[in-house]
Amino acid sequence: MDGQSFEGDMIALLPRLRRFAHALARSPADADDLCQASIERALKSRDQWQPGTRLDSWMYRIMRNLWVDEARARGRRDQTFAPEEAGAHVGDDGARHIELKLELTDLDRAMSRLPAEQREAIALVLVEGLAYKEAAAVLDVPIGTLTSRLSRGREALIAELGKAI
Amino acid sequence: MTIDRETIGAFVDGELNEIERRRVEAALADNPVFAQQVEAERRLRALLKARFDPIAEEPVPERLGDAVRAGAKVVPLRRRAGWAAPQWAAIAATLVLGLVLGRQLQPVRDPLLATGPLAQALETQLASAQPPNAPVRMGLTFKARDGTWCRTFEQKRLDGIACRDGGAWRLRQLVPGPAQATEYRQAGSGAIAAAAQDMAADVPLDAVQERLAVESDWK
Repeated sequence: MDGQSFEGDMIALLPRLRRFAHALARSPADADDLCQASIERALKSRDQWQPGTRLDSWMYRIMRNLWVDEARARGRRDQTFAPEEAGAHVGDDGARHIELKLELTDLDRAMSRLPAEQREAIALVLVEGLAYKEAAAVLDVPIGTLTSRLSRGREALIAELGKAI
Repeated sequence: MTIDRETIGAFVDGELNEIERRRVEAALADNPVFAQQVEAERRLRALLKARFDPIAEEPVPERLGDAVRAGAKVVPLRRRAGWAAPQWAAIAATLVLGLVLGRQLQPVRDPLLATGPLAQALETQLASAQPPNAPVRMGLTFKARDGTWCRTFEQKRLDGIACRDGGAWRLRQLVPGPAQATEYRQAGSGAIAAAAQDMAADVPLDAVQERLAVESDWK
């Protein structure tokens, strides 16, 4: 496909981008906000995308960078789930957000306790199914760095979930 | 022989080369601790998929599609040549549909083989005659469109569909079981039944046919 299908390709990617956003963000509302911000950023910088290269990797990278920036901006003031804040700027998504929050599984709790660098590695490889090489390229780190973060993340999740898995 | 956790992970992720893989397989046969670690990694993968894959199957919130379309409006005309809006929208819808369907029918990337009591139950337990305290309960048994035998099952932490593949049972669909969240269980049972219907070539087996299938060792 050529440059004309940029928006079409992006629409087709949305389900996967949302899944990645949900694996990164602390709440469903935050995830969709992150998704929207990533789309806007991508459209604004679309001239930087090289047709012929993978749009999905490029979008994952944009989303991951926004997420890291956002987490930094928030600092450590909300280490735990912040429903009021998330609910406040999503309007009618609020009720849905609370409902979903009730369904938080052991896994969500375990994921939310992971350091960002482990969480993004888990999200790219184990949720999105990227090969190590692809995931390392998205994060712009050597493969060895990716695999060691991934391994520490998995060990932490397995330890946290304990007998649940 | 020692195998570190990173190598166990790479094994489960299908990232090892032939030689390394053989080495891990030999260690697995040798040491039950490694086998348990592999099992835990596979469960983790399955849980993550069960938790996050449904998000990729939900309808995308309108505001996200709108955000993409809003960007399309400011695109220079030369790029939009030939993309009249209604036609474009229809193509976009097709792409989304194709992606969602493709994902549902896609096999899990790494081999998720049932082991232990689950494998035993899948191989021999009859839905029509299961003990009330059975750790795994069988649901529907059916022949999938790809010709394999498949069965739905429920157990304490994980429900799903497994299909017979070369003498083993491969996990094809998984949802967290009731010990985690009642809502998931209800949603999950419906999702499993719907997925089974999608996969099935024909109606599920009745009790007699199920017994015959078990007694013939799933030939």
